[in-house]
Parts: sequence; C-alpha cells; structure tokens
Amino acid sequence: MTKEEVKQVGRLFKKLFILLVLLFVFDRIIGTLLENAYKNAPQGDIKTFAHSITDPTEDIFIYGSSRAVHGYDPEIFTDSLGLSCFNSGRENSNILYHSSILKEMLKKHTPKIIVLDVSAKELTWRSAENSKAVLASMILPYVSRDTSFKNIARQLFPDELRKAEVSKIYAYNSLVLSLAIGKRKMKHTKNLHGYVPLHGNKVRGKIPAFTDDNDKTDPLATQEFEDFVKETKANNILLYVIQSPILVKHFNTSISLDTIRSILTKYNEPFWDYAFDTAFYKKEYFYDNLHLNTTGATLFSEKLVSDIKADIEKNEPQLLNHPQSSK
Amino acid sequence: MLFNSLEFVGFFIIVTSLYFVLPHKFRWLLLLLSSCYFYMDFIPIYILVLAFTIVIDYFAGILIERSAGAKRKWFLRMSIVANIGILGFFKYFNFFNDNISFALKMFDFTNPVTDLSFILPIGLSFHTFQAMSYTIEVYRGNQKAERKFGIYALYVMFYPQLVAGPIERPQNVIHQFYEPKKFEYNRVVAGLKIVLWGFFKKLVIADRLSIYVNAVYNNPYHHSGETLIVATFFFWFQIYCDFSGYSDIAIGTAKIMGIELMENFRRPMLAGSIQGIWNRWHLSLYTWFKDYVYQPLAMKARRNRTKLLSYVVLIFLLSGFWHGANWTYIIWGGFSGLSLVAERIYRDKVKPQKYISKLWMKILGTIIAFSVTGISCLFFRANSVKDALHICKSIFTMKHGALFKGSPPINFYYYILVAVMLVSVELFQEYLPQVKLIGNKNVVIRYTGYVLILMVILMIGIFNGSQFIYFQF
Repeated sequence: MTKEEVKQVGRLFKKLFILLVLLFVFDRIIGTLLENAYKNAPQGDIKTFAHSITDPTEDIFIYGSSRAVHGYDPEIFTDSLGLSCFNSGRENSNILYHSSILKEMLKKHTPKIIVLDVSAKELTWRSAENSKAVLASMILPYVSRDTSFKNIARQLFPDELRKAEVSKIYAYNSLVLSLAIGKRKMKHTKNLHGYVPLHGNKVRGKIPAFTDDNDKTDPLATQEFEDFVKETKANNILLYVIQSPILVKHFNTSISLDTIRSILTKYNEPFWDYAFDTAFYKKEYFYDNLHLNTTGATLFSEKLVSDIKADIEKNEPQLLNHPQSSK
Repeated sequence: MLFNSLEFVGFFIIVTSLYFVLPHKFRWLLLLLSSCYFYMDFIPIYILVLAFTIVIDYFAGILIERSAGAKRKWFLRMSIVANIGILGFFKYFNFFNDNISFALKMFDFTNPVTDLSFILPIGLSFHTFQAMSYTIEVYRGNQKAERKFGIYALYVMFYPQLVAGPIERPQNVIHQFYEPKKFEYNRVVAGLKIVLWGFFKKLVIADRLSIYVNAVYNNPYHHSGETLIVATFFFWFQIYCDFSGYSDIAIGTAKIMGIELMENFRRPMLAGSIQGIWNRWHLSLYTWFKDYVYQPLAMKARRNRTKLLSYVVLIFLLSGFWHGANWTYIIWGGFSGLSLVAERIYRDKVKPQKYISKLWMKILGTIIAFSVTGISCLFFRANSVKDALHICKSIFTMKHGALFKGSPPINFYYYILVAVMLVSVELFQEYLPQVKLIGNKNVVIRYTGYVLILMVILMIGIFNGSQFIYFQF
C-alpha cells in the first residue's frame, strides 16, 4: 500500500468511527424512548404479556393464540365462578410461547385454573424457528433487566440475544408500530383483562375445508405441550385443554389433536372439544372462519364456564370457596 | 454463505482487508481461494461440478481461438453441450422424468426411471450462463481466450456474483483482474453505500413482505380475491427487492475492490411500459438471451415480423424455464412474452401516442405495465399450476372474504410502510436525481441518511437470515 492509500484508509476509518459513535448514541436514545413506551404500553399484546409475567394475580389464566384472545371473555368467567380471570392469549403464538410464559408466571403466582385453547394445527403450524421468533419479539425487551428471560433467550435464541445486547433498538424490532399505533388505538379502550372482542362478521362464501399438509408434529412443540401439562399438574392447577369453535368443514381429528389427546390421556387430563358444537356452528357467531365474534365469544364463554363450573362442583368443590394464592 | 449473515460480514472484512494489503500479483489468488471458500460453505462437494465446467470451458476457449472454420464451431458446440448437459442433468432431469411419468400414466404405463434425489448446486444457472458467455464471446472474436487458468476460474467464481449474478461478460470483467486496484476512498464509500441500500431492500422490504406473501400463497384456498391481489403485488415488490438487493450487495462489494460489475436493475416499476420493465429488469440475463439467442435468430428471420415476435415469446419461455424446472415458471415466461408482444402490436397498430399526452402515456403505461407484470408474478410465486389457476380465478371473480392483514393485523401497516418507502425512494431516484440523502454533499444530511437507514434496518428489518429467492435458480 502506498502512503496515499494508507492516508485514505485512515480517512475511511475515521468516518466509520464517527458513524459508529452516532449510531451508538441514537441507538441508546431511541432505545430508551422505546423502553419507556413499552413499559407504559396500554392494552394489547405487550400489556397482556407484561401482566402475565410481572404482576399476575388472577385465579384463572387463559392461554392460546388469536382464537383465545378473541374467543374467551374473562368477565364471564369471573361473574359466573366468582374467581378473577385474565386472558393471556397472544396473536400468532403457539405452545412454545404459552409454555415459556407459564413457567415465568409460576415463579410469582400459582393460579387455580388454567384454560389452554389449542387448534387442530397446534403442534404443526409453526416451525420451532417461527415460534421462537414470536417469543423473541416479546422477551427481548426484558433481557436487559430480567435474568430469567435472559436465560430463556440464551437457551432458545442466542443469536437474537447477542444482537439485542449490542443494539438497544434491536430488542424492540417490529414493535415500533405496535407501540405507536397501539397506544393511540387503545388509549380509550376499556380494560377487558386481555380479551380483544371482534365485532361484526366477515364470513363470506362457502365454508372452507381444514387442511394440514404436515405429516408430523414439531418435536419442540410437542415437548413444550407435555411440559405445560406437567407444570400445571406439579403445581396442582386445574387444567382444561379446549378446542374452541371453528367454522370449517367438519373433520374428526388431526395429527396435532391426536398427539395432544395422547399426552392428556397419559396425564389423566381432560380435552374438551367444542370445534363443531352445533350450538356455535353458525356463520353469525364468527368474525371469520377461525375466530368468534363478540356474540359467539359471549355464548361460547358462557357455555364453557357453565361446563367448568359443573366439573369443579363435581370434582373440586373447595376450589370455588378458597381465596387466590400468590407466591 | 448468505450475504445477510454475520458470517459474511466477517468474511468480507477479512478478504477485503487482505486484498488491499497484498501485492497486486497475489490478489487474483486471494479472490479465487476466498470464492472457493464462499461457494464451499453451501455444499462443498459441488465445487467439483463447478471445477468441471471451468476446466471444459477454459480449454474450449483456447481450442476455439486456435481453430478455424467448422472445427471452431465444433468446439463451441461441445462447450455449450457440456454446460447445458450439466444444467439439464442437475436442474431438469426430475422435471422431464416427472412429465414422462405423467404422460405414461395416462396410457397405463409405469416409468421405470425414478427421480434423482439431490439438492441443486447453488447458483448453477448463473455460473453456467456466465461460462457460456465466455466461449461464445471467444468464438465471436470479442474476447481473447484466457491463458491463465486461475484468472479464468476467477471470472466464473468471483464470489460477489457467483451464486446469483449479475451474469457477466468476459470482456467486461477479465481485464479488470489484471489491473492493479488502489484503495480509493471515494470508490470504497460509493461501494459501501450501494451495499447499504442493498441490505435495506433485502432486510426491510423483501423479508418483511415475504411474511405476508408466504402466509397467503401457502394457503391460497383460504383467502379472498382482495387478499390474493394484495399478496401478488406485495410479491412483486418482494422479488424485486430481494433480487435487486442481492445485486446491489454484489455490485457494491465488487466496487469496493475496484471491480465494476454490470448494472442489473434500473427501477423497473417506473418504466412506463411492459417493454420498459424488461429493459430494466434482470438486465444481465435478458441481455444474455438477447445477445446469444434472440439476435442470431433475428438475423435469420430478417424482417419477418411474425417470426421476430414469436422469437420474443420463445426467449421469455426459455427465461421462464431458466428460472426453474416447473410449469409455473414456463407459464410465467409465456405470459410475460405474450404480454410484451401484445403491447408491441397495440403500440404499432393503435399508436396511442397520437391521442394521449406524453405524461398520461407514462402514467397509464406505468399502471398497466405494473399490473400486468404483477399478475404474471402469481405464476412465478404459486406453489403449483393448480394453485396458480385457483388464485387467478379468485382474483378475477373477486372471491368474497375479508382482507387478511397478517397476524397480528398491525403487521399490515409495516407492509404498506415498506412498500411506500420503496416507491418514494425510486420516484426520487427516477425523477429528482438531484435530491440525495446518503449521496448528499452536505455532511449533516448525509450522516442523517446513514443513521436513518441503519435505524430503520434495526427497527423493522427482518434478521432471520432468510435465503435470497434467486439462490434456488
């Protein structure tokens, strides 16, 4: 290299250094702003997640994906059972997410009842990598201040953890709009304990068939499901695994449901299938083919609560009289 | 090794630093060895396939140059047969075998030949075409046969464009390997800016939109016509940013080392006509077909218009087949060729420029060309012909249903946001090139641009290390 070239390399390094410093400063400033916005987030996915892991107090927790978020009204559970209830469902999630949240929650609080909504593709529809991405988006903002989350991240997505440790903004990747728009939209929304009602009906045309091209379940998802059942059993929590109503052509079972049933049988836990319950199999109760609307969710929640109540009165009557337990 | 991986960042820094530190006479060796490492990071054994074509074409080039008359042509044909043979074996064997099985089944026969099970060597279509351009150019006398084996091997293997182009011509690249390249600050920064914009297109736009497109196209029977239209146009944006993003990273990294690669995309969505789009889209491939297939045919056809137009369709059918061994690509190619021919006939017969102002011609042309090529994209993306036909039917009958907004629905705003970002930047680049952000002379604006782009990448980029779509070709 000539002297002139060395000089030009020095100039490049100087400019790159300035850029890196600027990037670091802006990363910290914007990252801190996002951190505050995240902490003060109103209702929605972020708040639901934060409540479930930081200050859970309720007697009943509902877990599941979007079908849980829009299909289970906690107020109906509380009114009927006299037990406080929170819907901890999360759009786009699967058992990996629920299992991690449950483990974290049990460190602070043991609910009396857990309702887990599963779908016919529960153990197949998301690959382990996709499931981890959903979980990562929720967990990464906490890794800098919570060692247990850091451990989960280190175990499941170490690369993501490394990136989040380098860049403060990266921990909030893909959450910017949720924070900005969600805050504006949710500002005047009533706190529905995690439940997000869907109004109206967008079901059109013929009822579609159920399809699942996967011929085997995801091993990680299957393991997490079994862990979920084991955790509830070990903590004496009453577990109800439910398949909520769905508006697709009738099918009997799926590879996911078969696996779920066999695991539940192994641990002597019930599986209640309302998928094609004639009481709900009507277009007017659905927002779209997969999600109940407010009318459907109310009817379904009432029916489910009455079934749970009957079951508890028969098998665990003391549960309805005891105060909630907190660690 | 993927460009969008931390491994590549490390590789690039080490190779580029060594490149400038080493004396010029050793640089070709460094680039060749690093290109071998880059390629072998995917599936090491396939380097032998690449080595085979390199050896064949290296000697073919020398023999073509030394020979005359029919012998010269014979060596060229041998080289082309060897290249096409390898491509055909690895890429098209199963396709033809499956179609033969299907045809035999109709007559109640069973095909005794079973499919081969192996993974397609990465970037096979690219480096095969690049190798063929060498022997053809030597045959035509536009390029001297390269005597130094290492330099010829580097021409085929130069890592920035090895697996997804641009498909280079020997007269553009080979001489550059002989020229001593100095470290020039301005050139290196210009290269880094191209790389930065390439990463933005890949991580922020292409990979973001792929979430929606994959969700819809992997379940087309569950979605409304409205959703399928949106997904199809999102795919247009996705594939453009995925491929042009890759090309930008390739061109930028080569530029940093002083090697100028050919332009591959020139804002095709703003072309104003279907022909314009193809004059700005994947330039290195379509000029390859034009130079080596269309022009020799057109010379023979003289001025027979029907023949010339049918050759246009043929070129597009071939380009569809080049993309993949699947009927969806062939239909896509045929559709693209026919739409181009239809536009030419319409422009010649109707002469719309007589009735419409230039501005409106541009606006309407842009909308129509974007829509037609957008619709053709559905064949490119659909998982099967059956799916593609279903999607077409759903779109044209406007199958009822809600607009799918992604899961969670807030993601839809990201898709809109990144599409708007792309269109805005390209509009500025096309119509107001004097307005610059990272190319601005004002240091404050320039650095604001750098920080802004990097912040957006960190905030909404997708970092799952997804493969570039064109790697599969």
